[in-house]
Amino acid sequence: MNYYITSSLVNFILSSFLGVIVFVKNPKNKTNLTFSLFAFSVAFWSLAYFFWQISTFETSALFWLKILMAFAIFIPAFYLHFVFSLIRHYSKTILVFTYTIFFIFLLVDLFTSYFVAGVKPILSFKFWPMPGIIFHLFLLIWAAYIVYSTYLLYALHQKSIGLVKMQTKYLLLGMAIGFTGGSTNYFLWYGIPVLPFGNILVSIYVATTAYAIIRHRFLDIRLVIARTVAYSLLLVIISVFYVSATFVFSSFLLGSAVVFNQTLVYTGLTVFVALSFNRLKIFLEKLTDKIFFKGSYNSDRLLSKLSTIMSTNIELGTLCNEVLDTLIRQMRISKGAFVILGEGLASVYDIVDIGFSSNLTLSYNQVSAFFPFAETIVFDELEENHLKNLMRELDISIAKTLMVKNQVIGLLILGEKSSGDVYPEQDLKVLEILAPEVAVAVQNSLSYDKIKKFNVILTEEVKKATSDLQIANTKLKELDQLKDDFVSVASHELRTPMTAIRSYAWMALHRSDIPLSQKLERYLYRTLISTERLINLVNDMLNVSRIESGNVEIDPKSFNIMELVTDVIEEVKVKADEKKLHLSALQHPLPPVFADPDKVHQILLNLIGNAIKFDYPGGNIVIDFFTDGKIVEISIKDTGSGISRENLSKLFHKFSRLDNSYSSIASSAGGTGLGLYISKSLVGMMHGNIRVESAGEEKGSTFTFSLPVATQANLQNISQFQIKAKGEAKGLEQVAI
Amino acid sequence: MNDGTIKILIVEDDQFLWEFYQELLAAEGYIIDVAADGEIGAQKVLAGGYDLVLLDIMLPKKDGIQILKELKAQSSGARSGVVVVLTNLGQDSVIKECFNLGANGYLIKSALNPDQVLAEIKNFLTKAPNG
Repeated sequence: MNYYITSSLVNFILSSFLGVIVFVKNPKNKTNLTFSLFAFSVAFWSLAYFFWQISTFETSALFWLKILMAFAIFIPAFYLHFVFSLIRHYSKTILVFTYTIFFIFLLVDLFTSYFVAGVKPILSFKFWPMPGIIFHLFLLIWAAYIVYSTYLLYALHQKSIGLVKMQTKYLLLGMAIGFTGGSTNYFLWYGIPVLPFGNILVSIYVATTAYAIIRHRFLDIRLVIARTVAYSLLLVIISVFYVSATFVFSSFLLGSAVVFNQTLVYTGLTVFVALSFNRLKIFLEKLTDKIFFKGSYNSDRLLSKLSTIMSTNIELGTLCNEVLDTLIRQMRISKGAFVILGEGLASVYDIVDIGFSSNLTLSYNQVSAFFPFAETIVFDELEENHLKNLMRELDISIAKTLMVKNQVIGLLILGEKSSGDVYPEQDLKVLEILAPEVAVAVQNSLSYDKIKKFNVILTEEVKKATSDLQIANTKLKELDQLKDDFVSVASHELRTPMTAIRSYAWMALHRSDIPLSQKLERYLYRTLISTERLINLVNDMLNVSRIESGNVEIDPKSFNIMELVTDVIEEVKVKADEKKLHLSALQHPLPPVFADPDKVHQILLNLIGNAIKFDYPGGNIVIDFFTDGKIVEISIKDTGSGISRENLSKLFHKFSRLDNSYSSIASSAGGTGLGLYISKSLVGMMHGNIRVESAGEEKGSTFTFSLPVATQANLQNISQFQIKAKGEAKGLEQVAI
Repeated sequence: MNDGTIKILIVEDDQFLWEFYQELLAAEGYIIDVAADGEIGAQKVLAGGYDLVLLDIMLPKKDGIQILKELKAQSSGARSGVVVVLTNLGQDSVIKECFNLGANGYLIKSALNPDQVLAEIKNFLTKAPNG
């Protein structure tokens, strides 16, 4: 067998093999169909070439030559048709025209001698064809079609990106080399002494096409090719084993040919082969899978696992992490990340990444470069541009925009496969299916995350507002304290000079070293009592202010009211004696009262003090008690000026102005108009009542106030009788009598 | 009138008032010493030797409450005889605190006539163990 015979046989086997696979995989696809037609015409051209080369008679050589040319004629037609179906838009007229022309050439070739005029020996060939007149035209058109089709393929290669660019690159390479190799046949037709040494190059297109199929997913038949390679390997191994076994057995063990034994051996071997075939097949399939499909997995199982993750995780970080982790482990990817956008804002909300060496940071501008593309962006499929540079910079192979209802949620980016391979179709399909699902899941988690973050912000805001309020409250309290302090200090400061005036007026009146005239004595006396009134007014105003602002507390105790009254009588005795008043308390058996002793002391001082002030010298003041078991009433009866009926009701009002006669006495006696108001307030605070009775002017008056008895029930309900001060508890200023 | 051996210390920052009390009490034959601020007051009170101290509360440099505290903390104690607070602060809480700190009496200046003050002082001096 010479080179031409061998190369034509190899060409036939490879080309027909490729043609069959491409056709069988998808006969309805035009690209597959036209490509297999092309491959078959190459294959049968090669087969006819083979028969031509082994022909021993001129007639059979001529016959095979015509057949050979018949197939060669259709190579450019199918080539063009294939390229047309690749570029997807073409003119049918051109196709019809093409097929017509080449069909005419076929007729001329088969039935006339205008195509192949005859055969003659040339160089090492016994029956080389001589061109007929039509052959020249054919060769011209043939070359034109090849050049035109290749040009179209080149144009497609130029304008396409990604996978198609890679596919067309290898197709172009194969076609260029194949046709160049094939066209070495035409030199000898014109007597040019160039042998058709390029025949074997024709098979290059098979190799590059196969490469484009496996590496760049051309025609989508990778699995078939891979399986075929597996079976071919299987075939070779079995054959080698079978043949060598046969050889060994027949040559050495059996010596001469023993038909029976040989049959026995073959039978044994066949059984062995049959038994081992399947295991071997599985092993080889695994091996080829490893080579062609590194990291194979079950897509359905992976997608279902991812669905479970997405449906059971709401935390954004966890969700993204688990999805990424699963993808990376199953697809054997070096690294990956989710870039999540802020809603309605051109900003990156969060980035969850796995496998990136340092924490991945991406600006919105960088990320947004991917958004215009709905399809999965594959690094290998991109032509050199900004996007490819960006992906190179980030060291990522895949970018997939995540969208929900045309709204971009974020971006899924994946690094290269751990194997360094390109992403197989399976991965890309899984990503296509996964992307919308994961986009919805991420959006949900994002909402949840935002609500959570909003809650945190809200809590902080509330905390801040609360602390602001607390600060404001503290400031108010400080201000209140400041005000109280001011009032206290101011009243103290007021009282000091007033005390001085009072003291010196008293000294002038009582310690004068010269006798005073009546007039001077009257002036000094009025100065003295006016000062006393002023001092009492300041004290009473302080007390009113404290009661009204809630700074006075009631701390109830069970105590003997009679004892307290006796103490007060003792306190005011000097004053009463000054006016020669008879002051006495009637003795009764009394239950203990339940009240604040300090406040009751204040009330008693006020009421008894009033009686002393307003009674006439030599008058009689009697303090009496009454009890019904629930309350104790304390009444202070004087023999003073009394109160007119119309003035009785006004008496407990603040600054109550009574008619002239009373008020003149009140002022001359040092009354402030506030004492009874304070007493009424204090009695009220202690669950009691205060009233006044008078038979009329000059008939004296009786002031009566009540206090609750310290019953068991009252003692147990102490909280009902307690009054807490709103701010700092303030005592009351002592009332002068 | 007494024999002129009873010493009274007036701790009072208002000049008109201390002069008034000084005149009032000196006329009764008491020996009067005056401290016009809290610091001097504290020194004199703690040094002792008085039968009676009239102590104001609101004083410059050191207030009367503080003086009472120091006096209470002093181990020898009670050498200044009777301590009577004489002030214009009339709040129950202050009065209670003063008694808790060992004051023997509490007189409110503005509430009393000079003769009442005198009567109280005489009363305290007769009650006092060393008076």
